[in-house]
Amino acid sequence: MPSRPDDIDPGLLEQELDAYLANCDVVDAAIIATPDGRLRAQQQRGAFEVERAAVMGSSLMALGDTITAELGIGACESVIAESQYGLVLFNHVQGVFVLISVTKSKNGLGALLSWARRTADDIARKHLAGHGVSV
Amino acid sequence: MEPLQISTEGMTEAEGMLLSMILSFASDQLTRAWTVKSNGEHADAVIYDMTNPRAKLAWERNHSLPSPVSVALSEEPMPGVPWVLERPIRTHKVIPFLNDLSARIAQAPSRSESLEYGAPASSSTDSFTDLKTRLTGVASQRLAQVPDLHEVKLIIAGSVAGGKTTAIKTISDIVPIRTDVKASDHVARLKSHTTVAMDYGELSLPDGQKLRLYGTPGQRRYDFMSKILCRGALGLVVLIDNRLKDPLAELEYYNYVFADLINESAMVIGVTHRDEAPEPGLAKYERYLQVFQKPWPVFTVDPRNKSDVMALLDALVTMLEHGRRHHAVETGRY
Repeated sequence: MPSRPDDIDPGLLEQELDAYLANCDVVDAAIIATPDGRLRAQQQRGAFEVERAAVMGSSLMALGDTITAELGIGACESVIAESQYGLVLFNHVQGVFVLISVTKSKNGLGALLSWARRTADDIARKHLAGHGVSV
Repeated sequence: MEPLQISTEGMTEAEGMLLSMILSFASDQLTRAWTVKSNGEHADAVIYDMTNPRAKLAWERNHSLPSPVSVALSEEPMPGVPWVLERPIRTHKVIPFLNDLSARIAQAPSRSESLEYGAPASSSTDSFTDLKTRLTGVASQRLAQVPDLHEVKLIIAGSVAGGKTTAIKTISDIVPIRTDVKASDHVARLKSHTTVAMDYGELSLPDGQKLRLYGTPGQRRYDFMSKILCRGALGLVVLIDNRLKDPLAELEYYNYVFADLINESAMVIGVTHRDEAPEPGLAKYERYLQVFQKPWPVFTVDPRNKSDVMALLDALVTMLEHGRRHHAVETGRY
C-alpha cells in the first residue's frame, strides 16, 4: 500500500497520461510532478524538455495556492499560462501531484481544462483514494 | 602613522568579525587606523565582553591600568566607567568611539573623564530602528541610481535547511508569505516542508518605503527562481548549513549562481547550525573566500535570533554604505 507519492508506480501514472493524450487530441505533452518539483511521469507527442517544466510547475502551483489563500478565495485548483503559440495548464492532483498539460493549440483551452480535470480525478480515484498517500 | 591595535576578550566570533569589518570598510571615517589583534599583548586597547565571566574578571583586574585602555562591551549603562562600547556593535557607534579613543591614547589618556557611548544602552528595538534608518539610506541611493527601479529588495539565499524561511520570519514586519510544500525527497530527512517558489517578507522603513525580503528555494532545481528573484536586488545574504558534507563547496556554488548580483552589490554569509556542526569554522570560510579573492564577511548565526539576523544586515548595509565591495575584492580586505 503506497504511503508516499514515490510509492506509486510511475508506469501506472504513464498509463493515465497515455489515456489522456488518446482522449484529448489538443494536448501535446502531459507531465506529472511532485509538489516539490520532481518529475514522476510524462507522455508527449513532441520533444519538449519537461524536466524543468516539472520544477517550474511546482513553483507556480505553490504560488497559486499562496495567492488564492491570501485573497481568501479557497484552494487553487489550476493555473493557466498563455503564450504566443500555446497554453500550459497546471492542475493539482489531490495535493499529491501536479499535472502539467501543454498544448500548441491556442483554441484548445476548453478541451484542455475539461480533460485535464478528468485525468486528475481519474488519477486521484484510481491511485490515491483510500491508499493512505500522505499529502 | 602606525595603526593602533585593539584586541578583544570574550566577544563572540561574529562580533569580532563585525568589528574587523567595520574597521576596514569604514577606515576612511577613522581619524587613525585600527587593527584587531588576536591577543592583548602590546595592544593599545582591549575590549572586554561584560557578559563573559572570564572577560569581566579580566576587565575588573585591568581597567584601572593606564595602558592598554580597557573598554567594556556592554548592553547596560556603566555609570562612572570611562570607556563603554554599547552592544550590539554598530558602525555608527564604533567609529566615533574609536576616534575619541585614538585622541585619548594620543594625549596620554586621563582616566578621570567619563566617556560613555550609547548610554543609556539602547534596546534591541532601537537597534532595529537604527538599522532600518541606514537601510533607508542605501535603498534611497539605489532608487536614485537606477531610474527604472521602483522597489528595493534583499535576497536571502542558501542551502536547504539553512534557515532562510526562519530568518525572514524573524525580522519581517509582516507575516511572511510562504510557498512551502511537503518534501518528498532526501530533504524530508532534514525537514518536513520545503520552499518551492519563494518566501516573502517586508521591512517598513522610516521614510515609508518597503524593503522587500525574498527568500529563494534551497534546492538546486529551483535555481531558476533565484535568477528571477535577484534581478535588481540591493544585496545578498547567503545562509550555509554547516551540517552539510561540504559547506564550502556549497558557498562556492552560491558564489557562482549569484555572481552577477554579487559583482554589482554585496554579499554577506551566515553559517548556521554550528552548534551541531562546529567545523568548518569561520576561519576556514574566510581562507576559502580569500583564495577566490571574495573576502565577504562570514558570521555564525542562529536565524531564530533577531540580533543575529540584524548583524548580517548590518554588515551588508555597512558594505553598501561605503561602496567598498570592489575595493575589498581588489585588496583582499573587508
